[in-house]
Amino acid sequence: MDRTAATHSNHDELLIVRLFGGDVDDRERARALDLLGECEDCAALFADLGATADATAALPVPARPRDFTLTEADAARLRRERRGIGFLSVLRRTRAIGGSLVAIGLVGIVATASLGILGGPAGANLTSNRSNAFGLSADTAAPAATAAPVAFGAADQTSVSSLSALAPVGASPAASATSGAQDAGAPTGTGSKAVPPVPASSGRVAAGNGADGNGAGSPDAQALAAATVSTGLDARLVWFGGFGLLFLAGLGVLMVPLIRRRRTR
Amino acid sequence: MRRFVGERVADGRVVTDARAETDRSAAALDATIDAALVEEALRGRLEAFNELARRHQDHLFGLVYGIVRDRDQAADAVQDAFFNAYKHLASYRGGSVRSWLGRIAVNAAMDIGRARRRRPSQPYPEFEDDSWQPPAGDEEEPESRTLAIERSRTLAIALEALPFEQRACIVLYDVQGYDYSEIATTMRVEVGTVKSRIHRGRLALRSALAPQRELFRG
Repeated sequence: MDRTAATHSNHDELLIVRLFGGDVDDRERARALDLLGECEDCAALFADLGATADATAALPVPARPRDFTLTEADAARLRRERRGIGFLSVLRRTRAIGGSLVAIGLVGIVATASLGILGGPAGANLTSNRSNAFGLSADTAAPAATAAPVAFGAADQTSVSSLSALAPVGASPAASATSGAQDAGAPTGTGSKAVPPVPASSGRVAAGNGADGNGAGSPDAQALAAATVSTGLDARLVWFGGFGLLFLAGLGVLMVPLIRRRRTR
Repeated sequence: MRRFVGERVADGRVVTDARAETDRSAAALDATIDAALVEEALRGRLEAFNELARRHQDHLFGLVYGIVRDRDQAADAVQDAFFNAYKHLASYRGGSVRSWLGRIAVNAAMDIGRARRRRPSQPYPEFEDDSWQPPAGDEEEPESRTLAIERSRTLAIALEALPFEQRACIVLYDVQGYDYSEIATTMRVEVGTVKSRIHRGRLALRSALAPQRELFRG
């Protein structure tokens, strides 16, 4: 007896428990059965496990305190919640979409506005328009136009401001003016907001007209400049409007859940 | 390892008696009725869902009560389980409705277990309430009845002392007759985890019951 008790501390109790739960392979089963045969404490453990499991299974359960059927009101509420679950998953996506739209719209608006302030395409063309309208010479008009950081897509030697606007950022007015004739009609617009280049034929006409050095420019050149101005303005307006619409659409998407929630209340 | 009720091993073979055969037929019929009720409920008939609730509410209450060991909390969990079942009826993918509801109920019970861990409450209000006593069994003798009550009380307290997960696994295995893989599916853990919880839980339970061991040795 003493010998058994002394050795039981070395016995694997978990193995006996696993035998009880049927969680042993053949070798383990044999080892566990040996233990049960040799060690009284292991046998007592096995018997206790059985008694406890039986007592657990026989534990009384009190009577169900109420009926768990659903009322019409419960069902209506749960149906609303069920729709809400579907809506929530959409909502999670719409939040991301709405946020992205607002962010893109805002960045676009700011970028478009900044380009305008810094003398973007529209600013440059407005200058050229003014210089043409007031018959300014190439030399007087150029410095103002060179402020345009973004090259534009048309060439007109008579309107140096337009040429300057065509030139890449950093190019001198003189270089722009001298190269203007050769470059006429070439798609030199490199700005991110560049209007599509003026067709070669128009460019040639413009260059030809510009050769007489008439600061006011011919009617063709004026028409071209006006067209360029209006195209630049239109482009900027389109970009501005587009970004504005994106921004508003994003706000709308973000507002929808709030409106729905208020309606639900 | 697990045998159905009515099965016994004789001469190394599992023998099924006639009553067990009848029970199995009844279970198959029940499953068919359950599936039909779910279909009706999916078409919007609340009465069909309520019939389903009536058929399973006793089973679910017993199941959840065994885990949470508190009548009111068990009732709340079962109610939540039926609410969730109604809300997610469309997610039922066939199979045993009883098991599906059981899984939902066990999840509700586990939610309660987690909440209780954060906010411990008075354990076993039943035992504080003299009006509640375990139902009398076959033994009519007052001495036997007193012994049975004492045994239930001791075991219930020891079960309550177990970690929630161990208790849930032991109840599902011993009381509800789930096998290891069913418990693993229900509790969303590995089978090995379930076995470990049950084995260690049994050892812990035995240690807790050591002072009153004679109560269980008949």
